[in-house]
Amino acid sequence: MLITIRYTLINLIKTPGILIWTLVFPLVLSTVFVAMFSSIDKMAETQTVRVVVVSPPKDSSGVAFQAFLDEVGTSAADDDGGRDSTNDGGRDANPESSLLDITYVTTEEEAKTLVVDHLQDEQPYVGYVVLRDGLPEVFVIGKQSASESQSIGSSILSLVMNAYSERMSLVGQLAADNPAALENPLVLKSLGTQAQVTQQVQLTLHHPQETVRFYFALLGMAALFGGSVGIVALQLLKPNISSLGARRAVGAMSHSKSVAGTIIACWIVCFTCLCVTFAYLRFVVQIDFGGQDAAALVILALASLLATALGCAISSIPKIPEDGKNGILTGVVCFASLFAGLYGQPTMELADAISKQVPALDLINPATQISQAFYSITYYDSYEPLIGHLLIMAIMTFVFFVLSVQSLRRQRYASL
Amino acid sequence: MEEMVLVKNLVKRYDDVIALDHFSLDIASGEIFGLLGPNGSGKTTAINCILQLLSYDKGEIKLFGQPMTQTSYDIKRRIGVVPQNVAVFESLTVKENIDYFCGLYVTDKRERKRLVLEAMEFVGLEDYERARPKKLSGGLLRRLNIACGIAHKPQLIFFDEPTVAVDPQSRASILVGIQQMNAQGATIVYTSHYMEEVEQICTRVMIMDKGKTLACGTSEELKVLVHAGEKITIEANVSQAALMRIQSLDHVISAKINEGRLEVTCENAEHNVADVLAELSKAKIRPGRIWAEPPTLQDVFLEITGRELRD
Repeated sequence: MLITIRYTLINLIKTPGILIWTLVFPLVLSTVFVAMFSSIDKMAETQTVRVVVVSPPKDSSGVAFQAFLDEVGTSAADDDGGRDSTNDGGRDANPESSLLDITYVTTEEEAKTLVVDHLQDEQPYVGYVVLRDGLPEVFVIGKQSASESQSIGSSILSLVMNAYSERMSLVGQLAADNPAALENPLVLKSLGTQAQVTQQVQLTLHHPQETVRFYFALLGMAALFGGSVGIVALQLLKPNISSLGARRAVGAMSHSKSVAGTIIACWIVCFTCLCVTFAYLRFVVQIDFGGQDAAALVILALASLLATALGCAISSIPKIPEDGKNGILTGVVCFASLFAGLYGQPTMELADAISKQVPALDLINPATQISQAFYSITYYDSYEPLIGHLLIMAIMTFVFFVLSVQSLRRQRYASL
Repeated sequence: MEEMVLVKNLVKRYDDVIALDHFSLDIASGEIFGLLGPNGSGKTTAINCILQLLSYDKGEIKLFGQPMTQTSYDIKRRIGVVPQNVAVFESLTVKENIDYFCGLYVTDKRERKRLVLEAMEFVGLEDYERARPKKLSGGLLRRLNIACGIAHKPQLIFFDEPTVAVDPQSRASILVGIQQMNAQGATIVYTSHYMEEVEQICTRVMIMDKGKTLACGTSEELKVLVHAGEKITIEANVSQAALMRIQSLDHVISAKINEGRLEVTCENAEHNVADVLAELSKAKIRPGRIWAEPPTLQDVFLEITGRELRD
């Protein structure tokens, strides 16, 4: 049997077309995904909103507003390590964690000019803020001039300033209802800081990243394309399809050993190609698999066997030439990948909708099962969901092998 | 002598077409047995049934005295097959191909290595061991096809038209090789369309058509069966009167003048040439060069199977 494994491996590796679908295509698609998703990932990152602020007056409302600005933002002067003493709240300004990147000017005209003059910058100002009657007024650039990220920045700026206005409104209410409370230093301190009324608890092992799911779906598709290996290898084993198959059938090696050796060789090729794709995603593209590399390899191993079984099942369809069988496999893989959400956000939403509405369809979609298996090792702290997906994949593998067993067992034919 | 192949009353149908009609065959150890027949006569079907690649409706097949089945691996171990179409892995080298097919029969690695080298030497492919099949000429490819079938030193070898599309040098080399294998003890079953090859190497010949055996025996035995005997060709200016007298001779089937040559076809008889020359002498015609050819296997084949074109 070893000789069958050895030479089937060599033959498959040297056969043009095999590595194109099982290795080159997934790597190229991964690279395309990297290019496609880099802008989305950038948008998802927390960005500091650049804003111009007309320096508040030195009265009590101005000092309070300045203190608030010091809380939520940083300025060029902060980065330089000093500014005028009125704006120095003594806090540890961290430009990376600040919501606002503030540039101070003295007049509203200056603010407007600065915003307009920097509209074409890589990161323009989203608008300016001026304090009137103790409350901030926000002016943002029009929707027609704003990019998508600027629109998000405008919303962030409005939310931040609304929070300040609401706090000032609360202070006014407190002064009217209970002036003594304002003499309590604890109350004053609480008014000066942002309220933390919710506690953040992480449910998953890692922060979910929207784009990572596409790479999981890609691995599902890449695995299923491994079925083409099974189709090619088994065509060369059947006497009624190739003269090579006939010659092998009259050999003294038992048929079961020939079939087993061929299937093992197909699995090795498929698994190796998937491992290369996985390594590319893991170490070059730096996709987060939750540090579960061993579990990922288990998924890849079973996915390779599933793909080989799928190839065997398609190969056993009678009266269809090899090209036709490869066409069937391509159709099955593309269709399954569609419902695994591979082809962009709308198909991912479709996949999610199907998962919710008709979960049974997920159970019979091998691409979805492989994709969800990777999802489960990345985000769940329990192996239970993974085991569920692996079990379903094992059942699918068994069913595909059962479908092809009649064809695989056959040694003698009515006609050649 | 041990009976290597025994086929009794084999019947094989493709729907309404009878491919083998109570076909029987027995081949003894040490023979080079020729299987002749026109296209579609059932030669390859018979071999495929014997090798258990094709199912059959009725009949008995025994190889080495034992019933042949799909799982008779002990019997298969003693058989070599050289198929009509070149059946090798396109992506493997010459040496890898021979090693693989030898490996279907021989598990010992060291033994296999020796056999592979011997097979390459036997067919003259030592200089091409790293070449891929697509880089080989038609003749070399046929030799590779043979090497893959005989590397494990089988006792019974089926050659299905091994010299198709091969140059005369390669053909001669292949035929000599087959005779050598036979001399070393292998029994050969050989199918071909080339009558002269079969006549040259086969110890016994079977002519079959439409799934039935029409004749079986040595070349000489088969030639006796046919009506046509010698073909006599004489360079001479023969008159119409002399030609008519020659045509009326006993044992003369036909006589005609073609491009200044007298061509006479005779039945098998002892003094055909002398009788024709005597008639020429009577007519005072002096002959030039004279050729007399005995009947060939092709004459036998065409007379038995007919001259009409086949599909």
